[in-house]
Amino acid sequence: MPTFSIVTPVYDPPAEVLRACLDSVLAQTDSDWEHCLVDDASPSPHVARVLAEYAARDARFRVAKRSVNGGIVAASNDALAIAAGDFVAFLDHDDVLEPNALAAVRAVVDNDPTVDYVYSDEDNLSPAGEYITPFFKPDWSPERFRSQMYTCHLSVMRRSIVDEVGRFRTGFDGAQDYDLVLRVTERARRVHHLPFVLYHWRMLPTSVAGNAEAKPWAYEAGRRAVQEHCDRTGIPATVEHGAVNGVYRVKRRVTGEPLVSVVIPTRGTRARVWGVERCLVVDAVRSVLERSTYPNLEFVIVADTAMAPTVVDRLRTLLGERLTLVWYDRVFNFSEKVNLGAAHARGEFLLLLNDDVEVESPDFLETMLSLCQDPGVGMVGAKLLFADGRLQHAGHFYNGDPFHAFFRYHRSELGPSGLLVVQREVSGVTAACAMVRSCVFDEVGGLTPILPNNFNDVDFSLKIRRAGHRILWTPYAVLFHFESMTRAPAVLDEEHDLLKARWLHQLSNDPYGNPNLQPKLDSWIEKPLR
Amino acid sequence: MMSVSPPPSDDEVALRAAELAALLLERAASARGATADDPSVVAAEIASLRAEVARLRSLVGPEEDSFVRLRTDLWAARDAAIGSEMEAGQLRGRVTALEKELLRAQRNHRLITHKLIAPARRAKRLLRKL
Repeated sequence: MPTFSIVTPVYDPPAEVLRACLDSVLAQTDSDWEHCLVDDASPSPHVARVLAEYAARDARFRVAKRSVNGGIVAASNDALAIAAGDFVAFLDHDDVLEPNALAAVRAVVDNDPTVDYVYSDEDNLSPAGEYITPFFKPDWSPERFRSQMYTCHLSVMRRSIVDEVGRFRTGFDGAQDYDLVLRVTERARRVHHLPFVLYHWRMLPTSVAGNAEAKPWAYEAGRRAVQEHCDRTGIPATVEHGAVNGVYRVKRRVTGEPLVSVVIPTRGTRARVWGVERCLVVDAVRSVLERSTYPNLEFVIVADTAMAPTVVDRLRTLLGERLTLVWYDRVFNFSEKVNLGAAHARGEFLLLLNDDVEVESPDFLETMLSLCQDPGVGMVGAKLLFADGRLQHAGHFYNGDPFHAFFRYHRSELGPSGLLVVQREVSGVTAACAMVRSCVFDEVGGLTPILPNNFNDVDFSLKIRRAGHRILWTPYAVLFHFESMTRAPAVLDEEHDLLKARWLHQLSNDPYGNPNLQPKLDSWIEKPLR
Repeated sequence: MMSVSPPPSDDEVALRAAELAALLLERAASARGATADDPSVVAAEIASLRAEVARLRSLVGPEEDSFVRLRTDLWAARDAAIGSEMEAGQLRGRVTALEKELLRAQRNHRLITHKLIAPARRAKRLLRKL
């Protein structure tokens, strides 16, 4: 039995395109494969001729023909039925594999027998024959996968699991692969990402690669696939179409109404925002009270003893019984202030919030809380905007140094492959607005006081991930963050050195970035001459 | 052209306030004589008080309107400030994206120059010498 069965449903591709596809299989450096091709009753006579020619040339090409056209699901299932390999790799009839594609997958599955699903990076093959628009993917990121089919090509799965889940399902045409991978990853022991472009997706006018509007029904099928995945896995959510085609919003529901403690360190600073002077903490609290729709809140305000009594009075008037005021009389240390606030909090969840924020989306608490209630999730971050609407925070990106991803891009940027409009796993989030489970906060010992000003949130995030929890970022919880209005944003060398001493490897190996990206940048720019 | 009467002096305002207070006291006293069985008296009293309020409002009208206008102007100014800041942000965001693209283009240009063009030129010079 071969290790790999390459599965290809064939329906009327141009002869030269089909030949390029089959030649790329023949050129594989790993020879332990079979190519299962099912001709879905193609009307053009050249299809059968080309397939017969390759089958005659090499017995590893196994060709079957359907008497009537059954569509991609039926043809793919027919191809799976004749597959005998340990793993199945999916290849479209007009696409091309890199010569070392199977060898790269073999290196993974031979090394770790618990890997059940492998996917690689990919790019597009333009009509001019150029490899363009590479898609450098993150390591396995289940929340992002629920938001978009990002693993796509090349996908290689253990055949036994594909059979176990019932192969492709009818009714999901156009998103049949998304539906299959959702079901396979529900059972897979390990998922592995190969950060190499092993697959070239040909752009044809009728293909999704060439035209996002080509298959509108596919997006609805994708939405249904994710909804069914949520229902199967017990995620209480409604799946909606997202900001662009092929992106979905998994809108989770909050379970119960747990108490959320909003922890705000402050010294009662006043600042001019949008031309009007305001007391930052008072307006931050007011915006939460006025805009947020979540009812069960307490506010733990950690205030410098030097804070003006009028600010305290205004907070008392606004919050009444919901206010817990904690006085802080030491030299400024952000970590210590947050830890002190968390120690006084009674809630099951903490919302770490800076005093220089203003709520934009009314359901931001429900959005963050519902994600934080996922048992595997330790912390959730929000989309933060500068006063002029540019991105202040869209998740951390540890690319040699810690960065805010796409810092100072406009809020409406979609990001590469929709990165900025999907809920996704990130390596870290800013503590300016982060929801964390109280027990996770305690488990990792809160924020590190030896990082009093900067990077304490980076350190906190990495501690949470090291403890085995995932960190999510959502574009659906939006707040303005009038950053560094309360103090100068200076980073000391000692802070930088200390962070590197603690997390050198993690700062250069972000699993939600990609090794093909240029280091020391906040945006996704590929390395040159790859 | 419409004539504009000068605003009342402080003394005039005080006098009018005293007149109003006296009038209200007088009417309240007469209203106490009315019973619940006589709603027409109460309705007339309310109508007369409303008329008085309207008369007084017309006296201070320009100031009251100015205050409302000022407040509306303030809101509009704040909205305009936020709007222009957002528009500036959109442009700044675009500049950030273009700066990144420029960075990439400059880097690629540098690399092509150093790794391809410069060696080719060196080889060409060498061939000429030979």
